[in-house]
Amino acid sequence: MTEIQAGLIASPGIVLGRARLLLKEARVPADGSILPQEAENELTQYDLAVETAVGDLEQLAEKSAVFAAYVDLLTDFALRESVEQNIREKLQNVQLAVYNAVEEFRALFLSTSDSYMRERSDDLLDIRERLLCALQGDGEIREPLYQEPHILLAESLTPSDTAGMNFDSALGFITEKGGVTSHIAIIARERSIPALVGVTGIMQNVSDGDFLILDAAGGRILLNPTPELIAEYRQRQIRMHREQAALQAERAPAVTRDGRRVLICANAGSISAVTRAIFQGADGVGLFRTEFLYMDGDGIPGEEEQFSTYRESAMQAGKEITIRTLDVGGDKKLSCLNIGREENPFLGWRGIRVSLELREIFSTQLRAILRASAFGKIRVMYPMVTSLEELMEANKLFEQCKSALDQKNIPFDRDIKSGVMIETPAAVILADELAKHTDFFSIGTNDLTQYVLAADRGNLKTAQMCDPFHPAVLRCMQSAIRAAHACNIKVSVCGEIAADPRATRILVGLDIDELSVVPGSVGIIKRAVRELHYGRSKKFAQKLCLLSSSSDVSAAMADTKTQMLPK
Amino acid sequence: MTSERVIIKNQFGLHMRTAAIFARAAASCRSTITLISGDKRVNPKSALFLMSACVKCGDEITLICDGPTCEQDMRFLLDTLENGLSEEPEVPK
Repeated sequence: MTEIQAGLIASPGIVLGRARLLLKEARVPADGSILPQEAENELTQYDLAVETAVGDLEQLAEKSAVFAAYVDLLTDFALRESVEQNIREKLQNVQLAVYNAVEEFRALFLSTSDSYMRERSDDLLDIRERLLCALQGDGEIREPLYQEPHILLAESLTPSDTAGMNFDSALGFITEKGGVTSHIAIIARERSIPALVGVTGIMQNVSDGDFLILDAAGGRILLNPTPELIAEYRQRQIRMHREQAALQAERAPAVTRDGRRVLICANAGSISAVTRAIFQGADGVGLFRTEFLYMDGDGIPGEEEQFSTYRESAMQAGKEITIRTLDVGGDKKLSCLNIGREENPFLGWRGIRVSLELREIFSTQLRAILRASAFGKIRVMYPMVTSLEELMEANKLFEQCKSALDQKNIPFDRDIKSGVMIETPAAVILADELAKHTDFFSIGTNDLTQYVLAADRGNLKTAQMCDPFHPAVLRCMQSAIRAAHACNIKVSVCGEIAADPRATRILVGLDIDELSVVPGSVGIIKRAVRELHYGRSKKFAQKLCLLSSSSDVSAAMADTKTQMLPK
Repeated sequence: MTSERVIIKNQFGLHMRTAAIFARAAASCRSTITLISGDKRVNPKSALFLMSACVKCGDEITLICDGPTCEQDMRFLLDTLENGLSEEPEVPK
């Protein structure tokens, strides 16, 4: 038994099976130089070879963009010029001319720092094979691949290699070359076939027919494993399948039993958190905190740096991402902003107040967000709003930033939505006014609870009083949600309560449209939503809002016979 | 002669597939076309030259069209960049 630590996991999973080696011998160009008068003939042969190769690809090109691109590369005038030059000036025969011309372009691609482009140099190998095959007059270049289930090993697997493949019998792939963006990696992932790439030397270590375990979860290959290991891995394989199926089911939309869909999004404070959130099945990023950009100690981040981060976050998310503008204050200080000592930081200079006073910094952030909106679905959200004037001023500045970008012809999403965080009593009371001038609400229950109950949750003496299920808080949420819906705008909740499965029933019952939670809770809350009956939750929530004390609310929540906690 | 600056919006920029589509569009134009990206100047009628320019998402490029049909050629190319490079997801999320 030999264990080989593998290169890269291109597609996860575990399979056990017989190895089949795909041995390809790269075609060698015929040797020999030509006489000047033979040049014309050689060039004609090239054109005929291109025609043949393109003809071979016709069928495949219809179904696959990769092969369509190969057709374009084969007919590329730059390639022809290079071949022509080799024939006429260097007096190389057509095969050698092709070989060297392709080699030149390969060297060009391999010299870039872009790993994606470097891998395209292998596509050129594929094209060269086709041209040499046409020139050497060999006809069919595909050898029949194996029919019984097997793990396929090869130095590399190009689109041409996999074009005629019967994937039903391919248990897994192992290649010596390639990275996670090579064709075989993409195809393996699309078809959920486990694959390891970049496993240098594997072709030397494995013989055709060897039994092996392809562990593309842990990243290793076990050659001729012991019966114990085989049994162990078969178990793991079964477990993985079950987990994957469960994960698929979990990532599905959260819909109550009577059909009300609730978006379950995730909170994130970095690009990696966005990736985790989407992996957990989040329907989007409901709160993207931007403070991390300002906190790395390098001073205020410039527009380019912010733009690049927001764009990447939006692209990683692939779904709607709601970016909250800078939300700092006496308690969340920044070294680059001089906030100074405050007696009451929670009631001090924070949130939108800071942004509206430091308009340059605010504008920079807004422009960066706008520019990023051309690359993904982005919404903008203003924190700590306490007045209509603040909202109007922020809206006005947002429009100015849009005009500025327009003048420079810089694209952005013209439909980009902007919303406000409802986290202060003033915002709740004025919700009906605010709703007329914004596109959505997001209720920040953490701060809202503190301000409404006038209790500091960081203070040991008052922490207990910060009960998000306090009737005052529930009624505030109810009121804000009603005001929003009266103006046909949507509401999300992004405080800790959103991730509390006991609260799901109440929040759904209060007609919330979206919950934004920590990535790890996405699954739990989706499950909680699926257990609910929206109609009954509505009645329950309305009843709770009529109660007058926290203890009555607790009792009502504990009492109910239809109480269902997620398993 | 016309010149326009464009920001590339495709997730993977002008890589093999999209470079091929754009090159084909450029090749169908009668104008002489130049694409400038950073310090690289290439003839975008060749997908290979275009790929060697390594144009990525977010890069700003300059397109120059020269010839009697340069106006409509430019419009066509800008439209291709905006709408014609439909991307199948290359890396499934």
